[in-house]
Amino acid sequence: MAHKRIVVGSAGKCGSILLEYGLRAIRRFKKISAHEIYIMRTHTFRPKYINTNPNTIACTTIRDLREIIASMKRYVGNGNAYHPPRTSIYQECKKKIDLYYQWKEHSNFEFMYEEFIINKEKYIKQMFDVFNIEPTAEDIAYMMKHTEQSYKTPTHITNKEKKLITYKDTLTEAEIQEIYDFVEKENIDKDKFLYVDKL
Amino acid sequence: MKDFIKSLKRPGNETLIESIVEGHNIIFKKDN
Repeated sequence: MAHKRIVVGSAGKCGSILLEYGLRAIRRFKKISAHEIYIMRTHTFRPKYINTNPNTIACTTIRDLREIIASMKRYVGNGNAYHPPRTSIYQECKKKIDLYYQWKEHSNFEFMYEEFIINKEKYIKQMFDVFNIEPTAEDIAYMMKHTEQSYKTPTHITNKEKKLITYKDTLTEAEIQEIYDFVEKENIDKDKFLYVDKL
Repeated sequence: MKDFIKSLKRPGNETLIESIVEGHNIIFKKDN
């Protein structure tokens, strides 16, 4: 029988590590072999990631656009940092949204970073759904504790307190306005990409 | 690849290493 493959495909700074490492923790806790279910995470879209195994489950993640850009601005590094004027906020937003839509088209599951902060239990149950497992109270308790830890290097995680709204402390008024201009111009879903406004 | 993985080996990096090895296998090997 072919192996099952779980692919987490999304833009950077949208909570993909949170999701991937969470899925790995579930796999470990439920004693599922890594040879039985492979897990990978990517910030690019390649058809071969999903086409080469018929048993592939794709998951994508998204986050409030302002929070993505704020996280990029806080991040000290190259990969996911926002480096004006080398790139513009408009370009960064466009890259994130385009990649999200590419993955969304092929995804079986969609996760929202903010959901993790607002309703962690619901988010965790959704992660178990990826494995098609009905979680027990023990499973949920384990994952509630597991997700308390920081999953990557101190520089990568820029929101250690897991605050819901950080962009106001990080971005300038002009930068926030650039994001609103992008949302208006591209006519994208405000409920999703400006998610924290509706809370 | 082996040297790269070796350079990452320290406590706390277990999931990172697991993640890199599995991603590498999916992309470059046929039997998964």
